[in-house]
Amino acid sequence: MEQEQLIQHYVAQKLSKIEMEEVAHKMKVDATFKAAVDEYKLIASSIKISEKDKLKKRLQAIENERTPKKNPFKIWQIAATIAVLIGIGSFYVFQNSNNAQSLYASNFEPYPNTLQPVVRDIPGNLAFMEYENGNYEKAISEFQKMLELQDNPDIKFYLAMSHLNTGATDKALIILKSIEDTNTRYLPQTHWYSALAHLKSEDKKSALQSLKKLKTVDAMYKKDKRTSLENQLN
Amino acid sequence: MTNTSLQQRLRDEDPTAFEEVYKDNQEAFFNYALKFNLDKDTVLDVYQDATIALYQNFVSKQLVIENGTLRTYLFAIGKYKMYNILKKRKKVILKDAPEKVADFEIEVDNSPSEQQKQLAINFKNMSPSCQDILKMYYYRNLTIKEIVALTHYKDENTVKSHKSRCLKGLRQLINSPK
Repeated sequence: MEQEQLIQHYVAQKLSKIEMEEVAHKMKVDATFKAAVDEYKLIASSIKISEKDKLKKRLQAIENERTPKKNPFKIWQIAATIAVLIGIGSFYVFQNSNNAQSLYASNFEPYPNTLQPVVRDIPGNLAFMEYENGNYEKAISEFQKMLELQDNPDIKFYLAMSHLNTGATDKALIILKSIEDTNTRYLPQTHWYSALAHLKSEDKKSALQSLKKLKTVDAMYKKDKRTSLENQLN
Repeated sequence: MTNTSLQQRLRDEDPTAFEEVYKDNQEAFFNYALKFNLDKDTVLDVYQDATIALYQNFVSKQLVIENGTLRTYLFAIGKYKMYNILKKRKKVILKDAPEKVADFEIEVDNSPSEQQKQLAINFKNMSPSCQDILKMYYYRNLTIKEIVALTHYKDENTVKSHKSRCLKGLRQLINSPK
């Protein structure tokens, strides 16, 4: 086998155990050979890094392609917000709240159920089913039943999300506040949705504080949306 | 049989096979990862890196999984990565440390050196034909003969000389003082 091919097979671990040992020995006694192996490894690893970057971007694109599916719901949210506001019939409220409300509407999307598989096969399954189907009133009563059985900050988070989706912003805020200091796995989400809930309540100052907390606990979570919102609020 | 041909497609660097593995195992991986108590974004990041590591093992080492399924292998890589994250955050309890991850000889991801990073950038800026030929040789580990069979190059010597020319640019960078 030519030396170059030998090195290639060695680095790719395609050689037999005995051949691998022979190459390892040759590297110890032949400095030129060792340098050639090192150079090969360096080039191979650099190409691998470059390919890894490309693959990572492809996977991120797959995830981004999935997100627009939520758009019909988002549009519905915006439409619902506007409809409710017109329903109130108060032009004054509409004019004053327009900025914060539109920021809320353009940033809010229901948080997906990522917890449900943990509690599959216990009564909580129903709560998450209702949540996923958008039956938030029913989900609220099911989550409350679950919380009577166990005090779980993750379930509280979903209870808060359900309230937020029904427009009960104050209730959502109280619950979110109560889990800020717990070990919930949804801590970044808690701060993000607190910020949005404060926006909906026209409390820009508190919204900014929540965004600040979000940055402290997880600077990467919703980074682009967070910074853009911070800029618009400042 | 389907699984075997999927493995062959992965060895052949078929991007659709890569995406298939990613999409087919994602939900199960997220369920599996729940016990690690990591946030969703971290789990997604780990899952992406694990899928890439698996794919690159197929492409570069022509991996053949005989014992255990592809999913087991993929999850073992993910588990290893999640333990590393927990270890860094000092949250891991020692008695729960992975016991059998080593079954699959998972490569440790050392952070790339500055030289490797620079070289990777340099590689990305090369002409497509240079990237292709260097990738076939150094990444897919194809022999010169195999490259001739897969490409329009007329013989082994043409492949060799083209490869040397492409390598020259990269070599200069390696040898330049840091």
